[in-house]
Amino acid sequence: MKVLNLTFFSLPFVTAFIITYFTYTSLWTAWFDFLLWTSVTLGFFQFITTFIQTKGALNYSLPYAVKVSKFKVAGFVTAYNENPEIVKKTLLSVKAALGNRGTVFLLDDSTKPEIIRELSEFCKSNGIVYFHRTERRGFKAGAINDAIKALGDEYDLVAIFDADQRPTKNFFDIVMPFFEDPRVAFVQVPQYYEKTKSLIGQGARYQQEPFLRRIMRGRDLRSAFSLGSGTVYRISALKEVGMLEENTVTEDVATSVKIHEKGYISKYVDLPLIWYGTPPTEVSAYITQQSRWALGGFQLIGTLLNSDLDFRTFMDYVSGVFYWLEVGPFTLVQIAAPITFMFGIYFLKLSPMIYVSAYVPYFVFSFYYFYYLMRGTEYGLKGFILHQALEYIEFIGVTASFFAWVLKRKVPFKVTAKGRSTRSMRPLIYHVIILTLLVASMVKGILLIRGASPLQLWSIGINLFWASWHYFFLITGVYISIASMSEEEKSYLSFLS
Amino acid sequence: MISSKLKESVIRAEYIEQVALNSLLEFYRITNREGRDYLEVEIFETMIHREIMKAIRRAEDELEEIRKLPEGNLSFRDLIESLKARSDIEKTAEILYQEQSSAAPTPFLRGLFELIAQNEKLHSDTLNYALTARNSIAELSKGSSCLIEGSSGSNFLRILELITKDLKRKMFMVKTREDLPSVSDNEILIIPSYFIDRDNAKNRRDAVALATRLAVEVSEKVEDGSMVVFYYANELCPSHEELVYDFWDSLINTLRRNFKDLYVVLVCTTMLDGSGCVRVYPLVDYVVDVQDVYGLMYRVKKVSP
Repeated sequence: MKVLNLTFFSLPFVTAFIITYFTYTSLWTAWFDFLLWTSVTLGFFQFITTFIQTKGALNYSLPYAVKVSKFKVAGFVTAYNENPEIVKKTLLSVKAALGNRGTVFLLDDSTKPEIIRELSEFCKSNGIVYFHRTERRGFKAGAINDAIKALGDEYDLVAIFDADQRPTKNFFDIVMPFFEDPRVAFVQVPQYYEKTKSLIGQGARYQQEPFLRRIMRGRDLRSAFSLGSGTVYRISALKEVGMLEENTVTEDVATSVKIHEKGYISKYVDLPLIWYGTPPTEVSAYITQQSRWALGGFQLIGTLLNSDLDFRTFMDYVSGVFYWLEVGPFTLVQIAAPITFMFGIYFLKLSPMIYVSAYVPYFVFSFYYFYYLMRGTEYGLKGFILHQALEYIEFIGVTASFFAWVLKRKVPFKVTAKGRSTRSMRPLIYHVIILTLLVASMVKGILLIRGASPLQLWSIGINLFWASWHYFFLITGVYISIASMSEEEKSYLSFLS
Repeated sequence: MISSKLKESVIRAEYIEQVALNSLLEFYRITNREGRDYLEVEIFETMIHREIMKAIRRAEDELEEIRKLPEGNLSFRDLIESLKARSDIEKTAEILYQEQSSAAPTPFLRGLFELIAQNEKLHSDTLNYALTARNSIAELSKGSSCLIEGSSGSNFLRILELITKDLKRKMFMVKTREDLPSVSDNEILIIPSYFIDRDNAKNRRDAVALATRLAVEVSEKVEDGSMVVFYYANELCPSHEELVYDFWDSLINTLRRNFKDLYVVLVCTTMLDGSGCVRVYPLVDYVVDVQDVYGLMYRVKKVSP
């Protein structure tokens, strides 16, 4: 474990520990005091790293003109029991985009014989190479690694597409020239979600905006990481790092770390070159997706602490991990804080005046900076509310992923997707319990106002503010989850009530 | 001669005509005398449509084969002179088709023969014009820039080949679309990031900034002493008509500043209303007005003082 890495990573925790030392009320509640301060310091560190990252994002630009390159490309489409019609369309799109610059391969790990037969016949009649494995070692990453090994040295680049993601005709014309720079190990093209009526889907689109338009742009030519699909790798670089990482749920990020460790850079081409399809449109699918990404983020901690990344790149990656910690377990801590206070557990010894004078300017500035950062995008107030509300919906799934990582469990939060009403309702039950507690704490807080001293009024006011804040986003999250449910799920909901 | 896209549509058309013919024949078998009289004209013309499509396809295949023949020594000038000596063949053919046109029983056949007669006349006219036109292309090498202008579908590449041959320069092709045909090993592609900024260019300052940045990026990729072709030029400039001059003025001047010797060619399509890159005329030495490249119907105008 690298000392510098560990030092930087532990800074928010150490800072929180020091503040706790000066503010705890009793040893029984000191741990909660520490967790609350950690949520603040994590947020602050994340704000600082985002501030540094996004300074570059505001100057991000792509070239106007590129010299047409001639690399030989293997276009991989990965599939696992997907609808064959969707896979076929993707295969044809990749073939059209690739033209005579290479070969299209279908890496099919399907287990259903009818799908295997249909897709292998389709590939045969369309000049596509069909790869099929009977054992799914390493899942998607394993399939890609096996296929690359089988290719030999015939190809320079490998492009990876999920079965439902179709590249535009000019995808390779635009992406390939960036490989003229030998330092570039991979190029990532963002995934543009299509517009949807579902509020969950809209929120998921808005949630991607700060990440894709600012964070990834800020990490361009340094630490932009692979998003798993729409990535084109230089095969020699992949071989140099021992191919894709197979022992993680997010092999893309883990492989990116290995590549950046070797001193390679990655190019982020923020253009709509992939038709990505619909985002998750209902709550269970959305939470499953976010929990998986979060688990991948937590699994990365060990790799990062042992990595040889340069400081800026390391900081970029750690910022991502801090994000998941903050969205997951530390959101729970933040929600619990006003509730415990209102119910008479005073775990923090701090003048409310000091808190207000220190926190309000930071809170206002971070809001202003975020507004400044997102100018010129589709984001806006609606985007902000939907984005925040979704983070309040996903936090339980992300927290479960955190504990799954701590306890080394493989699948943390399995929610069945569409059509299984009883299961897809489950995530919201936790939110309803928390909402009830928040309402109770707000009522309690209002009752406490009578007879409170001026100093106590400030404390009650701060906690009422936070309780209302959490309540607003949580209830909005619950509302958009219900509004995005299928009619079948809604009827189940009315049956319950 | 014809693009792969057109070839594809010719094959499709041939198939559709055959399907239509089969359907008509089915009715022909079951209908009475009066019905048959009505259908016969339609069946006959559908057969001709099908055969024309077939003929285009076969002619293209035959041409492909002919192209494989080894090159001879007869110069373009001598070729034209030799063809002129036989120009009476074209004239005879023209008269023959005119006669057929007057004798044709249906409007379709009349029109078809008339069209072929006109085409024969065009062959004979262009034969007389070919040398003058070819020589006018050679004139372009006296300047340092030209604009090739014509309606969409004109074979600009043929003119570019002629210019490249005369100028004896390495060609760098700046393409606005990836699906444009390749004529150079040195191609530069304009990517969507450019078009986003182009669409946001609202005033002179934006247009100048856009043109300057594009010129700088192109300069990094081309060589001194070469020829740079902007294909299609009209897709590069901002849509506001009043910004076109400023845009090209900045772009060409920046290129000139970066190189001692660079030949600039702008390829521009004229719109349906006849408008094109008129505003660029003051910035180039010559304008090549393309009407029919294969018939060598083009006109070179010197536009700069």
